Amino acid sequence: MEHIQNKYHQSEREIQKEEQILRKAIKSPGAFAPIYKKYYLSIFKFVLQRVENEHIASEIVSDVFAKAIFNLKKYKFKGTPFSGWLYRVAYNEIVTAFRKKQKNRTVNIPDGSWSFLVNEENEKKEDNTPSIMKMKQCLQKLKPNEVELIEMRFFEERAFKEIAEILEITTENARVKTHRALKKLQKIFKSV
Amino acid sequence: MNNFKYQKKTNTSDEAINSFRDFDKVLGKHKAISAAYKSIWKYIFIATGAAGISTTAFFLYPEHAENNLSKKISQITVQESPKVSVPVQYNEKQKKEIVQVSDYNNKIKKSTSVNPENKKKSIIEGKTKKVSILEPQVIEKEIVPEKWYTLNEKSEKERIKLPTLFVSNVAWPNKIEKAILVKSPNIMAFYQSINQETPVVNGIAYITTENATEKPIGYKLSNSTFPPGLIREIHKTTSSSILLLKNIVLHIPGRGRVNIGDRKIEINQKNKGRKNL
Repeated sequence: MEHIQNKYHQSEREIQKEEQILRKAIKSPGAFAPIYKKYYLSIFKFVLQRVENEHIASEIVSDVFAKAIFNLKKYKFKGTPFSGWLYRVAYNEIVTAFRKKQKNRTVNIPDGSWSFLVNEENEKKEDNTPSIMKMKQCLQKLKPNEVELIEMRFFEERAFKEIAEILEITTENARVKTHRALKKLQKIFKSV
Repeated sequence: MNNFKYQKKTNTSDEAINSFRDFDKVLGKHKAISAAYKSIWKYIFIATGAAGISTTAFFLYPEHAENNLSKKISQITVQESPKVSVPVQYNEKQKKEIVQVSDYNNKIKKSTSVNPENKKKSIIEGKTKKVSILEPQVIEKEIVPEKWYTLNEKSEKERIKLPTLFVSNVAWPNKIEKAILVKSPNIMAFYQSINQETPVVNGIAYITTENATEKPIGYKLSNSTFPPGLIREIHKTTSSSILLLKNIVLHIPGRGRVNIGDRKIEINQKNKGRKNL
């Protein structure tokens, strides 16, 4: 998986600096501004992937940060970037938002996202590129949690450790579950 | 199967995303959340404090709490019984309060007496001075359940004219020890003026308690000895039990059947035999 971007990983100094800011932010919420500035873009993109438009996303994102500041006391520093915890808050906020509005969640399928299917099967042919319609058909047959794993790993190119942190599971479990979801998707892909 | 909505989105530029950035909005939302939580905690603290005070009060003054509880229970039972409207008696002060003068500037020289039974009165005084008297409000009182029996005992003056009533060989008894009652379970009357025993021909005996609201089984008295059922009941009695004799009818020679009223006898449960042991 060489194409997975290494967004999640940060140097130890960066992480420690982050922790100091967070400690200050517990007492004065205004001190949270650097963290907000640092993660705003990535959190917005994460939310935007799952909602219909930017306006809904901006509302959810402001809720995410407000709740993050409010629940900062509960955050336990584990030597990992704060983004993991922030993504988890965002993920829960999205779920709550969709439950409130009783609407279905959106899954964004980016261009060339199906290449992982072709690569995995070693069947890279020019004509074999599946259409977006076929992709939708295949994804619809998966369970919601399986789609989430595929989305996070292959569409958003997240590290297993980050996926594990967002979904509150172990890294190994995230890896195994993603592998199973991928195998299932490949099977469906062949049959369609 | 899942119900997700699949779509292909155009990439939003970072500039467009940054245009939505507003940290003040985030801080405002944070304030709103924390204010809401604080108010919730306030209510929780008040409720817990009230519960704590009531619990400590209950432990410190258990008698008072029990009384309150019993009052509440009695109120609950009253709700089930049909409501009876009882007109409240008014004293002089209340009467004055009831009178309302429509025009305060006009002085009323005449004092008016108000009969609370009259619903509405208007007294015309002088030329056009009108005094309206409000209708005395009929307050609905809920009657607390009373004893199942009403006691019609003869007074001591009346008793002199009557034959002397003996219960367990005790004259006009107020209290009888349980042991004595069990030993000699009888009732009789003796008429001194003719020096003759007069038989008890009618009456009903009950074993009950002082404030009992439910009527127990009654045992008819047709002769001087207590019926076996009554003796069995006497054996079961406790220190709070009473022997209630209702409508005792005697056959007085020359006067015929005479109802000498009721008699309430407390049963004292001192057991001398046990003490000796």
